[in-house]
Amino acid sequence: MSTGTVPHPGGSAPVPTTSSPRRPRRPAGNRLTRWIPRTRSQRHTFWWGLFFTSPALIGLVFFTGGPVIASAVTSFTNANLLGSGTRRWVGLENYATLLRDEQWWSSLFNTFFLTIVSVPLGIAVALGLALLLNWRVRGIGFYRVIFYIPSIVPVVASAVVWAYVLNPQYGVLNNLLGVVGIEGPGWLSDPAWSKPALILFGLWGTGNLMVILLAGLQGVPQDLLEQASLDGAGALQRFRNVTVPFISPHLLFAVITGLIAGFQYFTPAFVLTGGNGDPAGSTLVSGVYLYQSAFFNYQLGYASAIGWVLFVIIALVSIVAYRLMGRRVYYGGAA
Amino acid sequence: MSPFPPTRPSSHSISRRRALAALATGAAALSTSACTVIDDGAVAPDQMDLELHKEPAPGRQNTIELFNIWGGRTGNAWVQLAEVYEASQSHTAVRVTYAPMSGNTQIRLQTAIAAGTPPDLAFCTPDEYPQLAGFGVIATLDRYMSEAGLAGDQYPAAVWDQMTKTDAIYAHPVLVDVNFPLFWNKKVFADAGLDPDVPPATIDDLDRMSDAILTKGGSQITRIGTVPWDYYGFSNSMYTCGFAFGGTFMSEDNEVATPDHPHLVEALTWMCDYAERVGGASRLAITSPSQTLPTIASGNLGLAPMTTADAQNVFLNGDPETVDLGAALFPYAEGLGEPGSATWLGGYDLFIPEESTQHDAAWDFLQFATVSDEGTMTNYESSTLVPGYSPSPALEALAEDPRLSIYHEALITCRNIRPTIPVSGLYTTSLDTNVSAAIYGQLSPEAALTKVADQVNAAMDAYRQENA
Repeated sequence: MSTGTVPHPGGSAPVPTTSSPRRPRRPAGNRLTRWIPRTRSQRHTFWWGLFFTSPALIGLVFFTGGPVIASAVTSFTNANLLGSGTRRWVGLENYATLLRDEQWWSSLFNTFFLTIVSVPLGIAVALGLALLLNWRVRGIGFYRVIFYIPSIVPVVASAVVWAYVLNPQYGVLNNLLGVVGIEGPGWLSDPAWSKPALILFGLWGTGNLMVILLAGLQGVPQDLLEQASLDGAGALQRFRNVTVPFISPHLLFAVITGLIAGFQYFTPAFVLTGGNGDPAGSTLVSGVYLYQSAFFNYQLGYASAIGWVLFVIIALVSIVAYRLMGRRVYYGGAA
Repeated sequence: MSPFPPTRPSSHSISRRRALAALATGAAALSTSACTVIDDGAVAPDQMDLELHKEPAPGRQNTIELFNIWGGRTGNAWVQLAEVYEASQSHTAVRVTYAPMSGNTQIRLQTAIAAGTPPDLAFCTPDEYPQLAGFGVIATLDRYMSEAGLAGDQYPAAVWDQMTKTDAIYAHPVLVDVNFPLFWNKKVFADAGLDPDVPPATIDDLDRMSDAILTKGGSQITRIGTVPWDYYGFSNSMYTCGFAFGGTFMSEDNEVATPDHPHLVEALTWMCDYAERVGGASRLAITSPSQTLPTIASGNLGLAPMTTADAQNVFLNGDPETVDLGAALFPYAEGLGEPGSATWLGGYDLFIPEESTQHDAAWDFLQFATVSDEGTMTNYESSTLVPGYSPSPALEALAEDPRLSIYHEALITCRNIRPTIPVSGLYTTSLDTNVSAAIYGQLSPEAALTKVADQVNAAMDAYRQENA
């Protein structure tokens, strides 16, 4: 930093000042208009960019944005699924009905239960597998493929296989439990065990998260691990104080996306328990209840209200999770 | 502990490899099983080549479209029927479009109707049409019926009763499920020390026989007499047992839902007591021997109601060492029901969507499929689809079939139908949820059925307000 002089406008004694690095020029216009290209070159790039992204943008506007707005409007009407009859504005009636609907509350409880248990458990299992697959052993590439494959098997096919795995009489799981003297439960026929069964099935598809966490683990600086080791840190201390901070962005990602997916839980419950929430409503999650309302009972307005309430819950939970965890995330020195 | 990190894999890497290999082997085995499921699906190898879709014959004056919701032999039956129909006349071609169900719903049909581009013909369950009619999406068939000379005396009583529950006739039965004759496995009976040729006539008989058949491995049930809550779902189980106890699910004028009828409460109480007596519904550890065979073919189930297609499947594909079926009418509760009172009508109807454009041509095919000798016999011979039309030769063939004649007897004596009302879907899902809760001990039978009554009657009131 250097000092200098600036001539006084009145021609009198110069005013001492401190020179500083030139501040970046503020883009012209306010926040709303800042994106508008101003130079010829910018305009050229902008329009070509828009042209090449237009298929995706058109799809987004018409096939995602349109239905989103339509469902918001529909949630305030008495619309039925078949689009017939007179569509009438009912205000907040669908939302008020939802508050009084026991089945909705029951489905919300089931959804929360599955999400709260399955998200941390899924992350723990994916992290455990990623740690295993981060070992330097021969044929590690082969093992990585094997553990990733289940996540690309279609859920319906996996569900059929798991119906056998969880079979109380012939299933692998109960037979393994039998070996150690434990009498396995009726996983999908007992209301007390049906949710744990779904959680267990959910672990089958952790391959995607495992790959993400494995990438994170491979970004942990080896020199830091070695230094910690030289300083006498044990494996657990190295994991807690070196590895976890470096993979914390990946863990935050896993938590947020896991929570969103958890509240949108549908396919496994629909396939494994027939879409009725059997046994005894224990697997009736909010997504299945929405489906039932729309496609069994034809109540499109009510189903739309369920969808929007779920959206608000997901948004709130995601924000809370981000606020709680976001400040603890370590970005390797970058802000 | 060495102060230096290892520069090459240390000796315990071998156990790491073993751990990885063991886990990988498990994952690979399950993945391979899943791949086998994708490869084979739930379709038997001899059914892999069956067509479920058909293009219309060229050069016809009219082309109509039928949405086919079934796979396997039943799905192929509609392709065969369309071909026979096209060969029988020269004016109308039929496109059969495979539009499978998702769970219990026809999403493709629903979206096609909502979009204003429905097929010319589609299927619905007989209790479903009032709801669709209420929404104004089904064309009435009254004019066609009277022009064809079709009237009540040509239909079994329950079939006609179901067709005429609304102000007009909107749908015509094309396959009738008589729910349900009770099949018993003579092998299981003999093994349990029961007379293999004597089925239960009453609910008390059923209880006595079930007690003799029950076998447990630890606390798990490994062989059971019957599973009263698993007669094709909780709601269908409730209908069957409810009618066996002489209950009614709707008031006489079809305006009020009565699932809390005292006889129905007694029926559900019996189902719950049965579940408790065998150790609890969650202790059931009996499953089908394969993807395609019903559970009774496992040899671990003594008695089970079955649809015509399932019964035929067991007769044709069951292992004769394990299963030897006898058939009778479902038992009744003495003093409440009467012989045959448990039987009720299920199946599927054909209807013409209001917004379709070729009603006359669609009716022509509908009539061929449901009441013509050629059409009904084709359906019966290709997939044992039973027509709901008395003069059909298919019913004669059914009466003469030594294995399946029980269905004919049940059809002729059947007096019950499911609630045929504009909120029948909600009635069914409410029964599924609350009966299930009672069976698993979460609600008393009375509380469960009162809850169903409240939900259904509130929905009926709301429907009346919207559709005066």
